[in-house]
Amino acid sequence: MKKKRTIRPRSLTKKLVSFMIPAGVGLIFLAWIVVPIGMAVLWSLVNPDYPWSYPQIFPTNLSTFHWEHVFKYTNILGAIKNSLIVATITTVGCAALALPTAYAIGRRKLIGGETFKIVMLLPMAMPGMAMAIFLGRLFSQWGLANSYIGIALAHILCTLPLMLRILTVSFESVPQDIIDAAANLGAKPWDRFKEVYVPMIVPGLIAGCIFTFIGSMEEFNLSFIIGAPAIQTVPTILYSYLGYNFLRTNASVVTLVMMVPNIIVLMLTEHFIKTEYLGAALGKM
Amino acid sequence: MKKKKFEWGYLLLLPGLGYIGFFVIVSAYIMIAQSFGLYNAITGEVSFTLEGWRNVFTKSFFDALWFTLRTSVLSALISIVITYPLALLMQKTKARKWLLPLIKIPYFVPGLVGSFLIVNLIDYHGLLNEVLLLLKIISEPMRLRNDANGIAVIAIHVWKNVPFMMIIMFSAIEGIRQDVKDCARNLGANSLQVLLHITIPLTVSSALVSVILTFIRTFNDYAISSTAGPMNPLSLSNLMKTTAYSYNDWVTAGCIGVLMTIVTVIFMVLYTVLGKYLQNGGK
Repeated sequence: MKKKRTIRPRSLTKKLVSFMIPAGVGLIFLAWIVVPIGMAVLWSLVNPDYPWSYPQIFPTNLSTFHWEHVFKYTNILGAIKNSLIVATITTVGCAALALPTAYAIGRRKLIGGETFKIVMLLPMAMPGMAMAIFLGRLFSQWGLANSYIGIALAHILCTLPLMLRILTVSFESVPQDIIDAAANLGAKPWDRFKEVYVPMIVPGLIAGCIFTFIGSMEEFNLSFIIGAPAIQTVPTILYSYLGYNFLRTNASVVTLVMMVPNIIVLMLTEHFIKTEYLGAALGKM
Repeated sequence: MKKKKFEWGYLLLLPGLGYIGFFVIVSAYIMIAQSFGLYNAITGEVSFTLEGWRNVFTKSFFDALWFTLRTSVLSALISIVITYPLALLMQKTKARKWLLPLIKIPYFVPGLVGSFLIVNLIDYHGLLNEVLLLLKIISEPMRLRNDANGIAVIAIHVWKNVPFMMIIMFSAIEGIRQDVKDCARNLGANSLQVLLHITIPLTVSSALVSVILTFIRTFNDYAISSTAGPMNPLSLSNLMKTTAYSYNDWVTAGCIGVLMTIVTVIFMVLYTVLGKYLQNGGK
């Protein structure tokens, strides 16, 4: 939309308001995001020989001691590897399972299509811990406990609803007239699929894969019940630092390590995908 | 030919919905059977019993229920009270292009990370207490972590849920077509009237949807309340897990699971009904 030109000069209060709003919003953001993360960064860099305590505002001496300590003496690299393996299996499996179903719900005029959209939310209707405990019993009977496949199968279950929602919305939003036009111009079903569906589905698929990957990386309940103690993922390692033996410095390091991949992925999403998939998928039915 | 096409479509439902259906039904079956003593993963010996249902309603259960309900209702309400005006303000600022990705960070970081970041701030020697001490507002640090009121738990959930709500609310507010607002302005409405009669009525159901989703997530949370919450009362998830693994009382744990699931299902039904209303009447 073109910017409107005001004839009257803007009054002082209006100018003040137009300055106050961004400043206020910016302040809230500072308190919300920058302060907590900044504190974690500072704590992870505290030098153990110069403890940081009241009334010092900033630590007097910084060192990378805790970073080296965590990477040398704990299983964090193994945990990162485990998390990445599980997340990859989960994402591939989730996409493979969701694509045909989302196509059927989004494009085929099935009787009861609306019911299927509700059925796909079923995993959200079961408390995470209840699902973990009782699925964990089944998996230990089946010998799937303490294995990558077991954790990935469980993760697929809890990430499928969002993937299905996003893909269904994507399939629904492909305009029928473009498909018809392609058919009219003599495109065979395979060509129609390749030239019309694929380009319009890929952004949704990428978004769905990103949410699935992140969802799997940060899932705690199922990884904890099904994977522990044999397979440690990054969240279960952090949990061990936040429990009875609360180690603020080590927890800071693990926290920052856990945040980095998610923030990179988030920035990539913002850069490459313009549509707001999460809002579109969860905000309405 | 028509019939053949239908079979195709229903077959395609199997990978996604079949997977969900199978595992959800199986784990729900195990949970319910367990609560009546009809499932035993270790020895396989089963006998029907109502013992679990007689034992489940203890004081610690009601304490946990009250604690969980209170923290989840409060955090959902506080979150929406913060999010709604913030989303409206955001829409007005030009800086939203780079603010919007930033505010999403708490949603994208794991719950446990959020738990640590906030605990770090409100701990006995955290930044909040130190600053208040420095300003002489309080004379000694407040105990906010692991407190019986669950202030830390609420704070963490609010921190994590405001961005989630923001994503939903912002797309709802952006979704209002500009010409509707222009039309109202043209007919002489001032910006307050546009807000009251157009923006809020068109987004209030999105707000309800996000409150319900937030409530469900908080109600079922385990990680945050077990790291930042009190030991007594426990949250329901934590009580169920402790009952199962520490006391080895799987029958009672099954009962707690069934009760939690019932509450969640009720709110999921509310969510779907509201979502439907949003789709049909809201827009």
